[in-house]
Amino acid sequence: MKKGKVTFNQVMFSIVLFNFGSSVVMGVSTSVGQEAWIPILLATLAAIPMFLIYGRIITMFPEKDIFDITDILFGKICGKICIALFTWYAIHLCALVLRNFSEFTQISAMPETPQLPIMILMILTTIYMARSGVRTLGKWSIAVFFFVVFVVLFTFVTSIPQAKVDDLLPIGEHTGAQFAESTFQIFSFPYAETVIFLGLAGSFKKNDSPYKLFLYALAIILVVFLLVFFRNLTLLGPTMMRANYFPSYVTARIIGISDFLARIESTISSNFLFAGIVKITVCLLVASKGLASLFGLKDYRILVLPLGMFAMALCCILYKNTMEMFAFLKYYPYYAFPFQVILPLFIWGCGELYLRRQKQERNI
Amino acid sequence: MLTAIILFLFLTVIIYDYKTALKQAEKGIKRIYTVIMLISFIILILDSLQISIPSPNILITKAIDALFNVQGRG
Amino acid sequence: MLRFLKKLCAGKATDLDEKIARLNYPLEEHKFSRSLDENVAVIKKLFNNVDIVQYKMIQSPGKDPIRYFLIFIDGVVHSEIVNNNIVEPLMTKRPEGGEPLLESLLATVVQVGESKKINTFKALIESVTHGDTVLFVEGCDQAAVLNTKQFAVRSIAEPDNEKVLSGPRDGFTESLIQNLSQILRRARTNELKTKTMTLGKRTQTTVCICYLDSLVNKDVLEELLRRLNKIDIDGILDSNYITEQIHDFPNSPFRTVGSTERPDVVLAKLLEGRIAVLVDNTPVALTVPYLFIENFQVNEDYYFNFYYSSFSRMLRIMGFFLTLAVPGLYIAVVAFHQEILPLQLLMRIALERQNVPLPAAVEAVIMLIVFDILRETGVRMPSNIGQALSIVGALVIGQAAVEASLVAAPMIIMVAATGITSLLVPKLNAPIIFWRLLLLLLASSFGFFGLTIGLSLLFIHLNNLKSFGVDHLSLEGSFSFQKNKDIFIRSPWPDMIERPEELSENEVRQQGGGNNG
Repeated sequence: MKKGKVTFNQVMFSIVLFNFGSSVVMGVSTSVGQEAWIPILLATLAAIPMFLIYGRIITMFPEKDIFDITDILFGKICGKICIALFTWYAIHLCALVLRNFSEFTQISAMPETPQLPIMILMILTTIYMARSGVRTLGKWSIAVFFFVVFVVLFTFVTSIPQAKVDDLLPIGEHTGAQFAESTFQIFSFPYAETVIFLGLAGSFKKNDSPYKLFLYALAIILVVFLLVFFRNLTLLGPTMMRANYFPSYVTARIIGISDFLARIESTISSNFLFAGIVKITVCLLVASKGLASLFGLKDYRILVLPLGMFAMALCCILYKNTMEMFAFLKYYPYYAFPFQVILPLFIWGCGELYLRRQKQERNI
Repeated sequence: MLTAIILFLFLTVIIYDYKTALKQAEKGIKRIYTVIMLISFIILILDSLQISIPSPNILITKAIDALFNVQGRG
Repeated sequence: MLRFLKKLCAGKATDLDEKIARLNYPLEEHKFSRSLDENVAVIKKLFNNVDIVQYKMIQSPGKDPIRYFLIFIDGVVHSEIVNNNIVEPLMTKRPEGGEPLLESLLATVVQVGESKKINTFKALIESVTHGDTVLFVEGCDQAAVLNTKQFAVRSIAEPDNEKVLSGPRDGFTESLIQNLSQILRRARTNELKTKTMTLGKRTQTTVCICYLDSLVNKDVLEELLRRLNKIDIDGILDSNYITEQIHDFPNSPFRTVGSTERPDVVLAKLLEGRIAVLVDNTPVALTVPYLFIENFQVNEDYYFNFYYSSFSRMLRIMGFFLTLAVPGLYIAVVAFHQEILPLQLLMRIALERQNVPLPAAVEAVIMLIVFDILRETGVRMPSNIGQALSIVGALVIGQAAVEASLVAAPMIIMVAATGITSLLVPKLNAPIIFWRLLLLLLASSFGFFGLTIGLSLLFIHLNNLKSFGVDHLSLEGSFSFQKNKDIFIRSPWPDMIERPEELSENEVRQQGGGNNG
């Protein structure tokens, strides 16, 4: 066992949890109501080539993360710009997710408490985890993954008696443009956010195939998303699902086993939180790694704390209210597109050229 | 109340870090550390005093609206 | 002329005194002299005011007798051996054979099985205080250490805090030699290595490191030796003195060094590639590396039917979470998430709580502390008073407090559940007390959210811990059976094919085993 390396399953589960992160709370795109499973499938299809590209970038430069790669490919100045962009995306995403969770916790459990203490507790936990390093994150993911999957399965099974299968119909109510928009949204939030993991690629083991890693993770995510979607839809119906900010939470409120185990939503919310901690930690880790390499520093751990504080500050001023948070979801795909698709595509292209040139040089 | 919480948080965190991690840190790290901490501290304090700071999201949404007109389609 | 002689004599005497004054400390470099009188004078100076030390001058028979000098401590030596096997032969026989005198003495006169030669005062002090008899001979700058040790040793009994229903019942005693013999009797192989070292500047305690040569992880062994050599302390009275100095995370409440009082447990750990550290004068042996799961493993698991063992192990793991989280859960439910309770239960709790003046969180903290007080008093209480104590605890706190509406009845049930489940994992008691209070605090101010955060912090902390470079909590995420055979379940013995990977260099435990099971 090498130092600072994480095993295949650890990475895979942390990718899965990263994708659950805030999307399970916010609900997978609900704008097309009962037909949302179609955009979920479409977005997964769209994510496959993207994930393969991420995998290719990692295999091209094994045991290097994106910050080293851009440095090799683009040289000092352009490389630094790329690193700065990526770092900003990571820290911004960190703040966005943190805000999702503080809003969620405030609305669902503690309407009178201000959000700041909630944020402080969450960010301190993630700072602790990020400082502990990638291995701790990996081990955490293993344990939490089983817990999260268990809860999802449990709620799915217990929701069956109350499910109204009629809610799945009618099919074909929405237009192609609506589907396209919904697909785009699911693609960018959460699937393509996995681009953040390129910042941790240096900790993957060399002989673990990244393609397998990403695709297996994608398969698990797809299954869970569909389970969650069908559970929410059949319990709430399309109208209610659209009307609620946090459909999964409301669903858990309805689920119950006879009279005894009812209203389990508050336990479910802690389940969301576990996944959310993974997502925030990954963002924070990558952001501090990025910042460290931006200034050419060796030790990134010490930067975790100030960056965490910065994420919290950013998180406080991001939105004025919950409405704004959900309104931003519409803009998010456009904003994230350059980071999620264009930057990796660019790195991939340049990387292929670089490798080819290197091969030629070797042949000569 | 919130201001007090923020003050307390920063105080404990900085004292803790000065006793442990920051002791052997390089000079460059210390400088970046201080700058980021200062920025976040100012933002948080201003926010807790109800002085509104423009959100970076406004810039983003405006730019995207200008390019793709998301609002109109909504 | 006379004056000159007097001066000479006086000069000689002051010389000796000065020499003695100079050599007081440190004694390490100082060697014996050839003159018996000088040695005797130095020794008497060294053991000044140590009245239990016995000195004895003896002369051999025959003409121009050889003078011997014996030194030992009354009570720690076997006086029969000293009298019959040392003093008597020395007085009645002359050594046969020539030079060197000391060798021929040991070979022909003294009748003691174990002896060695020393030439420093430091070694002399160590041997004499340990129960050996030291023999000086006129004209020799060496002395013989004769093994005449005799201690009062407690007889082997079952350790009180590690009782078993079935399986071997012998436990360690305070004698290192006896403890080692108990281990050796179970492993008749030269692979079992026992390295001894002396720790503690003043107590000079013997510490023995045991391991099986072909199984041990060499990195761990090296690290252990390095840490043991770094220990600088004046006295070691119990193995915990060592535990806290070789700990990976001295500030963590969790122990990353195992301890046991049973030889069978030590041997089981040695067979998995671990290393045991035995300390003289204490019945508690240490084992490293220590994994978190070992807190839930009990030696009886392996002596009973595996279904039963697996079940009780899962109970223990559950008990850990319950004793940790029950107070926090209760407070979170009562103060924040009443909706989770069925209506009737909620009504009952509300009814009970309606007359209680304190907020639930304060009530819980007080009750938990009261429970810990009862537990702490019970531990060191003579057993006949213990009964009175339990009556006071049960009746006064349990019944009277509820009747007087000082405490709600559900709170008593909660505290009782916490206390009983904590007995399932006695090894984790110390960390649990702290984390339980932290969780309670977080839950009382943030409900389930706080509880989740608290559990997360705990889990991150556990994941960070290491024991001699090995992860304390191993979560590789492997689905292979061999990796998970001894975690939540205890697999039957034919299936225990591999040793834990990170502990041992030799993984296969049964060559081709398990296929016929």
